Amino acid sequence: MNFNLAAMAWRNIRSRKARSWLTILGILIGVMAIVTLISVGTGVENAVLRQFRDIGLDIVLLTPRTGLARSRGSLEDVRNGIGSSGSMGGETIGSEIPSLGGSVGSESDDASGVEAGDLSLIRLRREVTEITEMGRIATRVLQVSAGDLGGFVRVLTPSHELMDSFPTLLGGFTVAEGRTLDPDATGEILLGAHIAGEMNVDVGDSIEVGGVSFVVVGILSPPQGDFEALGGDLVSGESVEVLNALSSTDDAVFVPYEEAARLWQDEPMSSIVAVRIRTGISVAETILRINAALARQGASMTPISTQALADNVQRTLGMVKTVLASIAAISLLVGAVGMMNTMYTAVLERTREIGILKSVGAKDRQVLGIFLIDSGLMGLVGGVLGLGIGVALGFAGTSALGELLGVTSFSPVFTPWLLLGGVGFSFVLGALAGAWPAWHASRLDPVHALRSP
Amino acid sequence: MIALKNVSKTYRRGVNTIRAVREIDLEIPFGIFTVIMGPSGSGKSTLLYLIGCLDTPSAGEIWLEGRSLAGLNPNERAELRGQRIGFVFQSFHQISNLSAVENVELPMLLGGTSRAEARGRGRAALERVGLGLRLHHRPNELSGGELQRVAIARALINDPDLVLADEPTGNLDTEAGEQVISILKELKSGGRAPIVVTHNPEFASRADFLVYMRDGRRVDSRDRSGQEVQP
Repeated sequence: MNFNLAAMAWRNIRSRKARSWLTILGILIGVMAIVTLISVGTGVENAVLRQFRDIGLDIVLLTPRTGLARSRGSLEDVRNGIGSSGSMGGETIGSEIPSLGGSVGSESDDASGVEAGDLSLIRLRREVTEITEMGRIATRVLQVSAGDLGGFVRVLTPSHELMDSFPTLLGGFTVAEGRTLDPDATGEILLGAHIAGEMNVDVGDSIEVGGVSFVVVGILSPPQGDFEALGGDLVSGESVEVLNALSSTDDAVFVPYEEAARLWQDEPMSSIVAVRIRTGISVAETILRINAALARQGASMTPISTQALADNVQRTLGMVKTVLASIAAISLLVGAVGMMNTMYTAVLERTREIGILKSVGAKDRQVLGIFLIDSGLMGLVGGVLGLGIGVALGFAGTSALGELLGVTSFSPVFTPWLLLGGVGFSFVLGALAGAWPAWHASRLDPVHALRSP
Repeated sequence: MIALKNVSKTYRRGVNTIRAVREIDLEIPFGIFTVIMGPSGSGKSTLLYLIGCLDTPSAGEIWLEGRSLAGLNPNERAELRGQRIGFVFQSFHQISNLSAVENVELPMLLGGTSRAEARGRGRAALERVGLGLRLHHRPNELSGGELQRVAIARALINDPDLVLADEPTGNLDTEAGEQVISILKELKSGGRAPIVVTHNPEFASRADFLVYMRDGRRVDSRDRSGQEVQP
């Protein structure tokens, strides 16, 4: 019986072909917009989160609370502190020496204390047992020259621990040519692939950084992943920028932390400590313990976990996605109003036909069914077509966006919820939009309906 | 038999109250050909719609084979229309985007009959009214006479007790009208009650039972021999 109603409804749709298609178009556009925006949005979200996962969600970064100005302040503190045994006790510096490697002399110990804002890593590790690995890195901008080419370049100075334990923070940190920096040697430098090309430098060449001559021992591969593009262009936030800056290794040169600290201790810099937390431990609780330990040391640093960054990014993108989906939903609603209009007109046009149906025994609910199925079918057709076009546009959208950002790793995400929900919702919306006109049709007085023109 | 007891129908149109049917008592047995005549506005169509359960009386009661129609809900009335009553209208009232046979099988499909059975019965019904070769024509491809025969086939598909025709020849030429009159008259032989509302005097001469109406009242009723019949 229902099949008959559906067949009847289908004929009605076909009998007003142009109007049906225009109505379907209204729904189609709405569903298409929702599917496209959500699939692209989710694709971007997943790509960004994948970058975070690649970097590692078990990392906590300690960043100076006030950046550059604070670092200079710290320098003053340290100079005073060394003499007066203030917040940087002799014990702290002394205990830190072994962790910095054999090549580090006493001169650089002072400096390494400075960079981390009066922080003793040894003591931090002792107090926060959840920490398994740690390393530090500072960033400076220095004059770099090779031959007659030169300019200001970002100089990243990771400690050997950071290079060994946190390569993902440095875009993978794999050497394409030559070798890595020797912990026991000095005067060695690694170059990002792009800067090496720009400066026309090969392994074995000499390069001058900040007035000191270095030998290029290796050239890095381009950074893995697209964190720079995705993180930098789609997501903002100071902490994300930190990750950004670290992973953008293409245009940077690398000198070991300890050597840099000795050479350029008066240059402005910004420094970061990275610690890895034992797996299975609550990151949030560990951060509280790190904070307490930092406070005990009087270190002016803020811990932020990559997990928290990822959560922030996810929240931000989620909000963007919600806003976009809401706009798309409004267009779907407008489509539904168009549907209601079409159905109401159809009921008016078919008033006499409704009278005929009732005169040959159609019950109210059968008349209701015919019109509900009519609008529901139009919704369904609009939903299916909108879905198809939305999927195609999703692929086109991510590929265009990817090209724009220079990112190859992201694709639209179509969850079953989105696909089935999109089609199901458009059917339900169509039926709802048709509900009032259909109810109106079902309640028509047959005598009155039969006499209508 | 269909029996009307003191049936009235009053409409409200704006501030006016229209008393379309007034206190009618009438008994129409099955197996005879009944014709209701009267001038325009005499209430004869309204009376037909009341008998056909398309409309409900404002007062009085209608009984179909000893069963009162008064207590039926809209669903039951729709079912009754579909199963026990067939309608034929002046302007044919076919559904324009359905073919002849699809129009004819509609009452069966709405009643829940399978498609195959409905199609078979629809075809047979059209063959019976001489339209066996017009099954798949759309209403706009059929003549007035053919359309009215499709309507009769549709009215008969569920083998109803009552076949109610409202001016069935009003839009037809003489020849087509004559054909329709003959078909309707023959229906009485199956124990059915064909009831026709018309201006057409051709019907009057064929009627077994003739009812005259004026101003909503039954003013006269006569049997085939011209003998006055009291309700």
